[in-house]
Amino acid sequence: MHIEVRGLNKSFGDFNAVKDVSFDIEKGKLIGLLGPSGGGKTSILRMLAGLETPTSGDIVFHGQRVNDLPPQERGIGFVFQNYALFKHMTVYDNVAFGLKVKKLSKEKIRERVMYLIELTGLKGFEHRYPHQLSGGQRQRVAFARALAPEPQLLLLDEPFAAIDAKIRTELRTWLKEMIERVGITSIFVTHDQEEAIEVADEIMIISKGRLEQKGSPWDIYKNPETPFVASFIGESTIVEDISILKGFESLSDQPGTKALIRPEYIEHGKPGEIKLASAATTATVRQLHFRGSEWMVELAIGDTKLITYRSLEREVLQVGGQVQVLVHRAYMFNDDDSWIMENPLKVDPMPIHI
Amino acid sequence: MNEIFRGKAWSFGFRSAIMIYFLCLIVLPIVGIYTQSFSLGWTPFWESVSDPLAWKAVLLTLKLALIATVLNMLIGTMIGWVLIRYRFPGRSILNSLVDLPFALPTAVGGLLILLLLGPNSLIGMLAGKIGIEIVFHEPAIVIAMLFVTFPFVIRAIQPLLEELDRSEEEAAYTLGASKAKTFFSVIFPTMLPGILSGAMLAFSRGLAEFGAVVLVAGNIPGKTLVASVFIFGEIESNNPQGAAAVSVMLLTLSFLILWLVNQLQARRSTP
Ligand SMILES: Nc1ncnc2c1ncn2[C@@H]1O[C@H](COP(=O)(O)OP(=O)(O)OP(=O)(O)O)[C@@H](O)[C@H]1O
Ligand SMILES: [Mg+2]
Repeated sequence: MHIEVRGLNKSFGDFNAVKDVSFDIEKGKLIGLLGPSGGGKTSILRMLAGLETPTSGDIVFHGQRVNDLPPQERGIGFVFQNYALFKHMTVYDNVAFGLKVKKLSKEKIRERVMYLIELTGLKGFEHRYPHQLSGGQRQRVAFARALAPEPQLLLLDEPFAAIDAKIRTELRTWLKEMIERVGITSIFVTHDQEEAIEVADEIMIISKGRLEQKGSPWDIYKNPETPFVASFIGESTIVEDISILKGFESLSDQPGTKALIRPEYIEHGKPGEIKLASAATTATVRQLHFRGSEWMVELAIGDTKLITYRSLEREVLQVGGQVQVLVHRAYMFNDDDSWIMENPLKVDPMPIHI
Repeated sequence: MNEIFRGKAWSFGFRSAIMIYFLCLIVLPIVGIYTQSFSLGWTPFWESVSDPLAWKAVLLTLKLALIATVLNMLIGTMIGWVLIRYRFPGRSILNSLVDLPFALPTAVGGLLILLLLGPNSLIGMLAGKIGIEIVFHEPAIVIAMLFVTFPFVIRAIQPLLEELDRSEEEAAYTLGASKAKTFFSVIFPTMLPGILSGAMLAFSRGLAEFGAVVLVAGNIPGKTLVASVFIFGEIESNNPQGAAAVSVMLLTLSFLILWLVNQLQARRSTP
């Protein structure tokens, strides 16, 4: 189902939870709503479902405005954060609920329920009650129940939040496959960026009620449009005065401009390890943290702190030792503008004339 | 070692104290009543029970307690629902007032009914005009029973309703269920165990009610004489055998109901 949202607002009393959000979603896409807690993700999802009334704005499904349709008539499936399974019903009855409402024949219901139960790997659990299932199994029941009436749009509110980390990765791959197989337009909420990047075709970043950016995970990572997105996606350090770094000296006349630098944009090495030595700045190793598969290295250039990672294969650094640092690019922003700046010394083969 | 020993000693002490308490206050009196009623053998017991005044009293009590219970289920469910689901000024005061019948001496409740519904009161006169007599007739007994058992159903369903997740209802809506369908297939099944166990407690309390009923019933043998008042009368007229026989009937009924409540609750915790 094609979804169009125009100028969506929601206020609770005088608090604006969702502010002027507009977006389009193509049929069959899997969208991740990502953002910090309290950003308004659940509110947006609930308005799409019809469980909450927008203060203003339009929600259009398939070219038809659905603002005034109750949740029963929107053709959506909703997977709640806490699953909201019917506690007094078995797995079978939970999944069958939406079909019984539609007054399908007993055989039709049985066929569809058994198909979904098999699809979600719940065979043998039909007669259990929700409290007799594990978190992952409950999640699957919720998923099967939402899919049963063949909705056009599937909405999932933090579907993996209550599941422990190990099964979570497994379950989200499973969910992605499942959604692709069923071919249903889906929106899921998460505040785990790794999850969003891994699962979603497109990500929408929501913060403080606003849609900061919408795009493919790669796009959002490569070209963050707002400082918030730049700092939220990936891991990054804010550098107040970037002109201390070689290649970025030209920014010393723009005092309000700050830079966000991601660890993976920073190349570092002992003197001689970096080929473009002329573009490198000398830094001191402040601290080393072992991170299981690599070292996290805290570097200092004057008062400025930078964070980067070092492979375990490379020679171990010493705290207090000197290293060369080459910053490949930085995300620059000030009050009016933001842009990505490549280190000019890197591209210029003869950097000496500056 | 010492600690474990002390722990065991404590637990033994507690358990014995509870057992003794139980024995003195519940088991002994009950055994006493059963022995008393069968002390002269089966035949006198049977004679006491088959005394028409005795079984009429028991039947009347059963009938009226049943009516009061059904009314309680309806009204109590509605009140419990409103108190949990609606926010309005005075809600918390009303909510604490629900327990008033438990706190009040039941005789005071009976007196209130006499004053409010008696033949000289406004309601009593209006009812009398259309040919309904309340006080000293069956309606007054039902009202008295209703009054003393009022909190049971409400208090039994409130925790269940509080536990019920709003999102369960919303899930039903997104699956296409109407409000009515959601009520009957999601909300009501959640409340049902509470309604039933509250109703059974109300029923057995209604069977046993004395203080409120004795004031308003008129106590005409065979007509408005309920079991508990019958027992009182038998004792007064120095016939403990008859009192014990009716008591045994009531006790047996109460046990049956308690057992049913237990079954219901067991079913709830392991559906
Ligand atoms: N019914 C409500 N009444 C008042 N405020 C509300 C209500 N629902 C949400 N809010 C507020 O709206 C804001 C957005 O809430 P929402 O639940 O949409 O956030 P979220 O992005 O889903 O957060 P989380 O990741 O923690 O679930 C929050 O500040 C919240 O306090
Ligand atoms: Mg949320």
